[in-house]
Amino acid sequence: MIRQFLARQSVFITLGIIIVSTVVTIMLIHAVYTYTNAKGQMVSEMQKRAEESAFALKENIATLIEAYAINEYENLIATEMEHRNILAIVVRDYKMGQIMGQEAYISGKIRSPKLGVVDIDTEDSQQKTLLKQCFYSREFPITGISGEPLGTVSIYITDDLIRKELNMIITSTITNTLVLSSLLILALFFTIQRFILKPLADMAAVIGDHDDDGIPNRPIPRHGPKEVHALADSMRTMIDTVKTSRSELRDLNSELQKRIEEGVRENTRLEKEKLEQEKLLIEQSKMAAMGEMISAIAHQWRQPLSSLALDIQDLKDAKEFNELDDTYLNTMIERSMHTIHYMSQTIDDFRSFFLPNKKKEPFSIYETIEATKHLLGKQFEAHSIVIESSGDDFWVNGFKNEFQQVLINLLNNAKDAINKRREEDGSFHGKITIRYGERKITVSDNGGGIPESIIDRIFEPYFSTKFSAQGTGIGLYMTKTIIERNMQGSIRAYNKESEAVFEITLPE
Amino acid sequence: MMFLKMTFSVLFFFVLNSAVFGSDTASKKLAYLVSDTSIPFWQIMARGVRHGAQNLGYDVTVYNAANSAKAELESTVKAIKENVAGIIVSPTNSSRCVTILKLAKKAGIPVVISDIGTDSGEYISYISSDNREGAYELGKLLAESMTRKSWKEGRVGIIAIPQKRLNGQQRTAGFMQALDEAGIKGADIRQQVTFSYRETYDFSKELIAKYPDLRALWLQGSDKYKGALDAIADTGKKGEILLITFDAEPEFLELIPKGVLVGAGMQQPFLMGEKAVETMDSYLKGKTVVKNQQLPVLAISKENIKAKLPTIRRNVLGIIKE
Repeated sequence: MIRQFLARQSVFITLGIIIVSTVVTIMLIHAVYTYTNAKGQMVSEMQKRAEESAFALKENIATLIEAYAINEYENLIATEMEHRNILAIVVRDYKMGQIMGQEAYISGKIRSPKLGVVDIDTEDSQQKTLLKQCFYSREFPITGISGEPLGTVSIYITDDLIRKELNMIITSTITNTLVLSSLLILALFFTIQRFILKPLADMAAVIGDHDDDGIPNRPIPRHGPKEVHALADSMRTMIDTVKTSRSELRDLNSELQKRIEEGVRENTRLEKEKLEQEKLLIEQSKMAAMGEMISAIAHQWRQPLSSLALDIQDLKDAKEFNELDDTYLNTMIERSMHTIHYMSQTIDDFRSFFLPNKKKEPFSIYETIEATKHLLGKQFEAHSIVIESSGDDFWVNGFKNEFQQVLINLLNNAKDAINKRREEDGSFHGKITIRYGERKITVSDNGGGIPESIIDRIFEPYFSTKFSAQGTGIGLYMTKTIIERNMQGSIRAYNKESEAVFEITLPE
Repeated sequence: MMFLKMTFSVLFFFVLNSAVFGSDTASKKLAYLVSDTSIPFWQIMARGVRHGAQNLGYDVTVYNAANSAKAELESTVKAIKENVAGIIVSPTNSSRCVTILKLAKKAGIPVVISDIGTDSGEYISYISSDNREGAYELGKLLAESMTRKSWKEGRVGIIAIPQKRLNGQQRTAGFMQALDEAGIKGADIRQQVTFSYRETYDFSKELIAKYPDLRALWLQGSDKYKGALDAIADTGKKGEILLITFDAEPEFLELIPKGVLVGAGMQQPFLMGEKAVETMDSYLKGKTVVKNQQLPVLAISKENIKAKLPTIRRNVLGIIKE
């Protein structure tokens, strides 16, 4: 908290607070020490004097008691009281007591607040109270030459005078403390201001007068103590270094700017090249797909073409055997037209796939899957591979043919995996399962799964496990590119038991 | 109305008389504490006290301390316990008198001090001799005598009582004033310590030896006058050195007329004792009393002794015709 407070203050204020609080604290401690010490000394001195008085008195009083010179010892006591800071001296005189018919004759002097030194009166309640409340008292026995008890002398001391003296000490101590503290604070302020703060303030003023780059316009002044000199020298060096650095930095910046511009240009070029590359890749991919398609078309058409060829052959045979009547002809025409229509439908399906991307539009996942199955169905049947699909349809906004290309890639990969496995097991039944719904599409096959050693790399471009005749190595790369970049979705591959699973997630 | 006034007047007188009568009966006992009745001065004063008490109808008990502080205090306590109406005291010294005054004050008993005095304390009156005036008269008497003998150029030696005492200081001052006025020079002053014959003899011889022009010796006390006379005789100065004393001895009544002594200052102890009782009586009767009463010291010489003899016999020597 103090640190936070000081952090908000100037050096002058901070120094002021430190100096004032330190000086005042030290002076107060000194004052308290002086006061306590003085009090202790005074009390000790007072007791010592009282005892000295008592010892001196009791010797003299002994003689006077024996001589029944009561007034003489009372005068002695009065004289002692005049010269000593004593509240009361009380003598218990046994010899006079005997005369009086009592244990002791009590006499002495007491310092009355109003009347000064007066005789002790044992019946005076005020005197009793004063004696009772005294600060210190002690009784000393008085004995004769042969040691017989003659009486006692008691010394009573009040702390009134001590208090007065202590009050004076307090007053003088406080005055001294204030004066000394003030002088000390002023002296410290003056010297610190003159020899430390002013050089620093001059530095700060010079630092405050700077150019647009924050470099002072004038050199840092060098006066004040050694450390300030060193600081000024360091700052000068630093400023020089900064100036040099700034110049170098400016050059570097200029160079960097140049390089950045070049880099940007290069990046732009590279990006362009990359885009072109990708475009090329897509085209390559498309061409590959097209090859696949043509192969599929060939498969699709083989059977109707054979059918048409047979029909034409059959028509020729019917002519030769005069079996060609209108009914026969119409039946032939109808069957041939049906076949041609089927082939035409096939062409339409492929044509939509090969149409260039124009704009994104909503399409049904179900329909796209079904169209793809239709495209590839015959071809996969030739490989004895069953494609099963099921799920809840959902719509996606994007390029339908690109998504279809994705499906073709995945299905072809599955087919290749299944065929590879079949090489090891000729009786193996291939099966591809497509599941869709909740904006997810999974394509899995029972081709044995993806080896764990390559599963993290299968989406890299030109990565292929196939022979070069079989694959280009860009199919899955393009699949990922289309899903993530063009459709803002995601794709991942994993193994489930012995099945390879590709899971596509598409946004709303 | 007139009847009522008269009735109240009669009642008032009756009550007043009863009170006075009652007071008289209750306060008829006095105590006189005296330092030492072996000394004639105090014997005579005690007689004066008794005589005064008798005249005024008081029963007085004289307590002789025999110069003992203990006895003096015991007497004081005893007198207080006797519940006396008043105490007259001639203390053994002025310091001890302070304690007597304190004890009396505590007991509510008034005190009259007759001679010696007190260092402090409360009392109703202090009766003393006018030492200064008496010494002055004595000095004048000596000066006249020396002038008649044309010995004014001679010196006067003094054997004094201790000068720390007030009466000693007063005696010296009064005497020296008279000598100064007469133009007579003083010699040394010797202070008594032991108050013995030998001391007075030795001091006298010393002064005589030291001052060849010594023409007179003045003793501030009278009882050891023989020491001075013997010293004068022994040094062969008889008839060449005069002797004069403060205070007097009964034989002075013969020695002064014979010219053995030039003169003597005679205090009046009997009168002082009487005066003390009278003062106490006045106080007890509610009258105003003078705090300090100084009685004259009679300067007696060959010339006036005859005329002063009745006064001397009564007031100085306490000889009264019954």
